[in-house]
Amino acid sequence: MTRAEYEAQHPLGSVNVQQDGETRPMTEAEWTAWVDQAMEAQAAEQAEADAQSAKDATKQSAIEKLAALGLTVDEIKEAFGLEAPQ
Amino acid sequence: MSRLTVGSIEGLTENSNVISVPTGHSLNVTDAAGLQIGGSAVVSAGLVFISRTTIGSAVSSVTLSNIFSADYDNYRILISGGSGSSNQFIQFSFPGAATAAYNYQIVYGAWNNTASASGASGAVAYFPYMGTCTPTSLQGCVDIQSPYLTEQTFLGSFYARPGHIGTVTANVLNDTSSYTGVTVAPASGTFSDGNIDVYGYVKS
Repeated sequence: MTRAEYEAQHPLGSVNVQQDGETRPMTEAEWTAWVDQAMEAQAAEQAEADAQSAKDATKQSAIEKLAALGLTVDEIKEAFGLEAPQ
Repeated sequence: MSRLTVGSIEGLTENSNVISVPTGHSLNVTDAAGLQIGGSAVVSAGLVFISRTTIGSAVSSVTLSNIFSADYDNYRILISGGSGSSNQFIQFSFPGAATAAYNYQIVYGAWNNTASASGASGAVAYFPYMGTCTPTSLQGCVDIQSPYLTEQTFLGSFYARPGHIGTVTANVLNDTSSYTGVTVAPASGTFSDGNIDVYGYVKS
Protein backbone atom coordinates (compact mmCIF):
# COMPACT_ATOMS: atom_id res chain seq x y z
CA MET A 1 0.00 0.00 0.00
CA THR A 2 1.36 3.39 -0.94
CA ARG A 3 1.51 6.29 1.50
CA ALA A 4 -1.24 8.08 -0.43
CA GLU A 5 -3.47 5.01 -0.23
CA TYR A 6 -2.80 4.64 3.48
CA GLU A 7 -3.51 8.30 4.13
CA ALA A 8 -6.72 8.07 2.11
CA GLN A 9 -7.79 5.05 4.14
CA HIS A 10 -6.97 6.74 7.45
CA PRO A 11 -7.33 10.50 6.93
CA LEU A 12 -6.39 13.02 9.59
CA GLY A 13 -9.35 13.41 11.91
CA SER A 14 -10.51 9.85 11.51
CA VAL A 15 -7.87 8.31 13.78
CA ASN A 16 -8.04 8.51 17.56
CA VAL A 17 -5.71 7.85 20.46
CA GLN A 18 -6.87 6.64 23.82
CA GLN A 19 -5.36 7.03 27.26
CA ASP A 20 -6.98 5.69 30.40
CA GLY A 21 -10.41 5.62 28.83
CA GLU A 22 -10.23 9.10 27.29
CA THR A 23 -10.34 9.09 23.49
CA ARG A 24 -9.35 12.07 21.33
CA PRO A 25 -8.46 12.62 17.66
CA MET A 26 -4.77 12.53 16.70
CA THR A 27 -3.05 15.85 16.20
CA GLU A 28 -1.53 16.45 12.77
CA ALA A 29 1.99 15.86 14.14
CA GLU A 30 0.92 12.59 15.77
CA TRP A 31 -0.85 11.50 12.61
CA THR A 32 2.18 12.23 10.41
CA ALA A 33 4.46 10.27 12.73
CA TRP A 34 1.94 7.45 12.82
CA VAL A 35 1.80 7.24 9.01
CA ASP A 36 5.62 7.31 8.93
CA GLN A 37 5.76 4.36 11.32
CA ALA A 38 3.19 2.39 9.34
CA MET A 39 5.20 2.86 6.15
CA GLU A 40 8.41 1.81 7.90
CA ALA A 41 6.71 -1.27 9.33
CA GLN A 42 5.37 -2.17 5.92
CA ALA A 43 8.82 -1.84 4.37
CA ALA A 44 10.37 -3.98 7.10
CA GLU A 45 7.70 -6.65 6.67
CA GLN A 46 8.30 -6.70 2.91
CA ALA A 47 12.06 -6.98 3.43
CA GLU A 48 11.53 -9.93 5.77
CA ALA A 49 9.20 -11.61 3.27
CA ASP A 50 11.77 -11.11 0.51
CA ALA A 51 14.52 -12.59 2.68
CA GLN A 52 12.34 -15.60 3.47
CA SER A 53 11.59 -16.08 -0.23
CA ALA A 54 15.31 -16.02 -0.97
CA LYS A 55 15.91 -18.68 1.70
CA ASP A 56 13.12 -20.83 0.30
CA ALA A 57 14.57 -20.53 -3.19
CA THR A 58 18.01 -21.55 -1.93
CA LYS A 59 16.52 -24.54 -0.13
CA GLN A 60 14.56 -25.59 -3.21
CA SER A 61 17.67 -25.29 -5.36
CA ALA A 62 19.64 -27.48 -2.96
CA ILE A 63 16.89 -30.11 -2.97
CA GLU A 64 16.85 -30.14 -6.77
CA LYS A 65 20.64 -30.58 -6.92
CA LEU A 66 20.52 -33.45 -4.44
CA ALA A 67 17.66 -35.04 -6.37
CA ALA A 68 19.80 -34.84 -9.51
CA LEU A 69 22.41 -36.94 -7.69
CA GLY A 70 19.86 -39.71 -7.24
CA LEU A 71 18.53 -39.06 -3.74
CA THR A 72 14.80 -39.45 -3.29
CA VAL A 73 12.70 -36.65 -1.89
CA ASP A 74 12.08 -38.69 1.27
CA GLU A 75 15.81 -39.24 1.76
CA ILE A 76 16.47 -35.54 1.35
CA LYS A 77 13.72 -34.60 3.80
CA GLU A 78 14.98 -37.11 6.33
CA ALA A 79 18.57 -35.89 6.01
CA PHE A 80 17.55 -32.28 6.58
CA GLY A 81 14.82 -32.87 9.14
CA LEU A 82 12.18 -31.49 6.85
CA GLU A 83 9.42 -33.89 7.83
CA ALA A 84 6.38 -32.22 9.31
CA PRO A 85 5.57 -33.27 12.89
CA GLN A 86 3.18 -36.22 13.08
CA MET B 1 -27.56 -24.08 47.29
CA SER B 2 -27.69 -21.47 49.99
CA ARG B 3 -28.74 -17.92 49.33
CA LEU B 4 -27.37 -14.78 50.84
CA THR B 5 -29.94 -12.09 51.43
CA VAL B 6 -28.18 -8.81 51.78
CA GLY B 7 -31.11 -6.45 51.86
CA SER B 8 -31.07 -6.40 55.61
CA ILE B 9 -27.34 -5.68 55.91
CA GLU B 10 -26.76 -2.04 56.52
CA GLY B 11 -24.82 -0.30 53.77
CA LEU B 12 -25.11 -3.13 51.25
CA THR B 13 -27.46 -3.42 48.30
CA GLU B 14 -28.47 -6.39 46.22
CA ASN B 15 -28.31 -6.16 42.42
CA SER B 16 -28.77 -9.52 40.75
CA ASN B 17 -25.57 -11.44 41.60
CA VAL B 18 -23.57 -8.35 42.45
CA ILE B 19 -23.04 -7.14 45.97
CA SER B 20 -22.04 -3.49 46.03
CA VAL B 21 -19.96 -2.22 48.90
CA PRO B 22 -20.05 1.55 49.45
CA THR B 23 -16.78 3.44 49.55
CA GLY B 24 -15.27 3.26 52.99
CA HIS B 25 -16.89 -0.08 53.78
CA SER B 26 -15.43 -3.56 53.34
CA LEU B 27 -17.00 -6.97 52.86
CA ASN B 28 -15.48 -9.97 54.60
CA VAL B 29 -16.68 -13.50 53.90
CA THR B 30 -15.25 -16.40 55.82
CA ASP B 31 -16.11 -19.98 54.93
CA ALA B 32 -16.11 -23.05 57.18
CA ALA B 33 -12.45 -23.74 56.36
CA GLY B 34 -11.48 -20.29 57.51
CA LEU B 35 -10.73 -18.89 54.04
CA GLN B 36 -11.44 -15.21 53.92
CA ILE B 37 -12.34 -13.11 50.90
CA GLY B 38 -11.94 -9.38 51.18
CA GLY B 39 -10.59 -7.30 54.00
CA SER B 40 -6.91 -7.61 54.81
CA ALA B 41 -6.72 -11.36 54.18
CA VAL B 42 -7.42 -12.23 50.54
CA VAL B 43 -7.87 -15.84 49.54
CA SER B 44 -5.28 -17.10 47.03
CA ALA B 45 -7.29 -16.75 43.87
CA GLY B 46 -4.46 -17.05 41.35
CA LEU B 47 -5.33 -14.27 38.95
CA VAL B 48 -7.00 -11.16 40.27
CA PHE B 49 -8.85 -8.84 37.94
CA ILE B 50 -7.33 -5.36 37.89
CA SER B 51 -9.02 -3.44 35.10
CA ARG B 52 -11.00 -3.58 31.87
CA THR B 53 -10.49 -0.95 29.19
CA THR B 54 -12.95 -0.78 26.32
CA ILE B 55 -11.29 0.30 23.10
CA GLY B 56 -12.91 3.30 21.45
CA SER B 57 -13.71 3.75 17.76
CA ALA B 58 -10.89 3.86 15.16
CA VAL B 59 -8.14 4.01 17.76
CA SER B 60 -4.47 3.84 16.80
CA SER B 61 -3.19 3.19 20.32
CA VAL B 62 -4.43 2.64 23.84
CA THR B 63 -2.25 3.64 26.77
CA LEU B 64 -3.03 1.97 30.05
CA SER B 65 -1.49 3.97 32.90
CA ASN B 66 -1.04 2.83 36.46
CA ILE B 67 -1.91 -0.82 35.90
CA PHE B 68 1.38 -2.14 37.32
CA SER B 69 2.13 -1.63 40.98
CA ALA B 70 3.77 -3.16 44.01
CA ASP B 71 0.62 -5.23 44.56
CA TYR B 72 1.71 -7.80 41.96
CA ASP B 73 4.98 -8.85 40.37
CA ASN B 74 3.45 -10.61 37.35
CA TYR B 75 0.48 -9.84 35.11
CA ARG B 76 -1.66 -11.20 32.29
CA ILE B 77 -3.26 -9.01 29.66
CA LEU B 78 -6.06 -10.38 27.49
CA ILE B 79 -7.35 -8.64 24.37
CA SER B 80 -10.65 -9.81 22.90
CA GLY B 81 -13.75 -8.80 20.97
CA GLY B 82 -13.77 -5.81 18.66
CA SER B 83 -12.17 -5.53 15.23
CA GLY B 84 -9.24 -4.11 13.31
CA SER B 85 -9.21 -1.99 10.18
CA SER B 86 -7.11 -4.75 8.57
CA ASN B 87 -5.20 -7.91 9.44
CA GLN B 88 -2.39 -6.67 11.65
CA PHE B 89 -0.29 -7.66 14.58
CA ILE B 90 -0.86 -5.96 17.92
CA GLN B 91 2.22 -4.52 19.54
CA PHE B 92 3.11 -3.43 23.09
CA SER B 93 5.43 -0.64 24.17
CA PHE B 94 6.41 0.70 27.55
CA PRO B 95 6.22 4.50 27.76
CA GLY B 96 9.70 5.91 28.30
CA ALA B 97 11.63 2.76 27.40
CA ALA B 98 14.54 3.15 24.98
CA THR B 99 14.54 1.39 21.63
CA ALA B 100 17.77 -0.39 22.56
CA ALA B 101 16.00 -2.20 25.40
CA TYR B 102 13.53 -4.08 23.19
CA ASN B 103 14.66 -7.64 22.40
CA TYR B 104 12.37 -10.28 21.01
CA GLN B 105 12.34 -13.57 19.17
CA ILE B 106 9.47 -15.49 17.62
CA VAL B 107 9.35 -19.02 16.36
CA TYR B 108 6.27 -19.63 14.31
CA GLY B 109 4.73 -22.12 11.99
CA ALA B 110 2.53 -21.43 9.04
CA TRP B 111 -0.57 -23.59 8.79
CA ASN B 112 1.24 -25.64 6.16
CA ASN B 113 3.86 -26.57 8.80
CA THR B 114 6.59 -24.40 7.35
CA ALA B 115 8.70 -23.34 10.31
CA SER B 116 10.22 -19.87 10.47
CA ALA B 117 11.74 -17.51 12.99
CA SER B 118 12.22 -13.81 13.35
CA GLY B 119 13.66 -11.54 15.97
CA ALA B 120 15.52 -8.34 16.67
CA SER B 121 17.50 -6.60 19.34
CA GLY B 122 17.16 -2.85 19.75
CA ALA B 123 15.66 -2.39 16.31
CA VAL B 124 12.20 -1.04 17.15
CA ALA B 125 10.67 0.61 20.20
CA TYR B 126 7.95 -1.99 20.70
CA PHE B 127 7.31 -5.72 20.94
CA PRO B 128 5.62 -6.49 17.62
CA TYR B 129 3.92 -9.86 18.12
CA MET B 130 1.65 -9.53 21.15
CA GLY B 131 -1.59 -10.43 19.34
CA THR B 132 -3.56 -9.88 16.20
CA CYS B 133 -6.46 -7.93 14.85
CA THR B 134 -8.65 -8.94 11.96
CA PRO B 135 -11.70 -7.19 10.49
CA THR B 136 -13.85 -9.28 12.82
CA SER B 137 -11.79 -9.85 15.96
CA LEU B 138 -8.99 -8.88 18.31
CA GLN B 139 -6.77 -11.42 20.04
CA GLY B 140 -3.99 -11.16 22.57
CA CYS B 141 -2.79 -13.18 25.55
CA VAL B 142 0.35 -11.77 27.11
CA ASP B 143 2.09 -12.64 30.36
CA ILE B 144 4.29 -9.85 31.72
CA GLN B 145 6.80 -10.53 34.45
CA SER B 146 8.20 -7.84 36.75
CA PRO B 147 7.30 -4.63 34.88
CA TYR B 148 7.08 -2.68 38.12
CA LEU B 149 10.20 -4.15 39.70
CA THR B 150 13.58 -2.57 39.05
CA GLU B 151 14.77 -5.48 36.96
CA GLN B 152 14.26 -6.66 33.41
CA THR B 153 10.68 -7.04 32.18
CA PHE B 154 9.82 -10.31 30.45
CA LEU B 155 6.89 -10.96 28.14
CA GLY B 156 5.50 -14.12 26.62
CA SER B 157 2.70 -14.20 24.08
CA PHE B 158 1.13 -16.17 21.29
CA TYR B 159 -0.98 -15.26 18.36
CA ALA B 160 -3.06 -17.20 15.89
CA ARG B 161 -5.48 -16.17 13.23
CA PRO B 162 -7.37 -17.89 10.45
CA GLY B 163 -5.34 -18.34 7.29
CA HIS B 164 -2.18 -17.12 8.94
CA ILE B 165 0.17 -18.44 11.58
CA GLY B 166 0.50 -19.37 15.21
CA THR B 167 3.54 -18.45 17.22
CA VAL B 168 5.27 -18.41 20.54
CA THR B 169 7.21 -15.27 21.33
CA ALA B 170 9.82 -14.46 23.96
CA ASN B 171 10.57 -10.87 24.78
CA VAL B 172 12.72 -8.99 27.24
CA LEU B 173 12.80 -5.31 27.98
CA ASN B 174 16.46 -5.20 28.87
CA ASP B 175 16.58 -2.38 31.39
CA THR B 176 15.94 -2.06 35.10
CA SER B 177 13.37 0.72 35.01
CA SER B 178 10.07 0.41 36.80
CA TYR B 179 7.03 0.73 34.55
CA THR B 180 3.49 1.46 35.62
CA GLY B 181 1.77 1.21 32.26
CA VAL B 182 1.84 -0.10 28.72
CA THR B 183 0.67 1.08 25.29
CA VAL B 184 -1.25 -1.33 23.09
CA ALA B 185 -1.49 -0.63 19.36
CA PRO B 186 -2.06 -2.30 16.00
CA ALA B 187 1.07 -2.38 13.81
CA SER B 188 -0.76 -0.11 11.39
CA GLY B 189 -4.28 1.08 10.91
CA THR B 190 -6.69 1.17 13.82
CA PHE B 191 -8.73 -1.09 16.04
CA SER B 192 -12.15 -0.55 17.55
CA ASP B 193 -14.29 -1.77 20.39
CA GLY B 194 -13.07 -4.90 22.11
CA ASN B 195 -11.65 -5.07 25.60
CA ILE B 196 -8.23 -5.07 27.20
CA ASP B 197 -8.38 -6.91 30.51
CA VAL B 198 -5.54 -6.79 33.01
CA TYR B 199 -5.03 -9.38 35.73
CA GLY B 200 -2.42 -9.70 38.43
CA TYR B 201 -0.91 -12.95 39.68
CA VAL B 202 -1.40 -13.25 43.41
CA LYS B 203 1.94 -13.55 45.18
CA SER B 204 0.84 -16.10 47.76
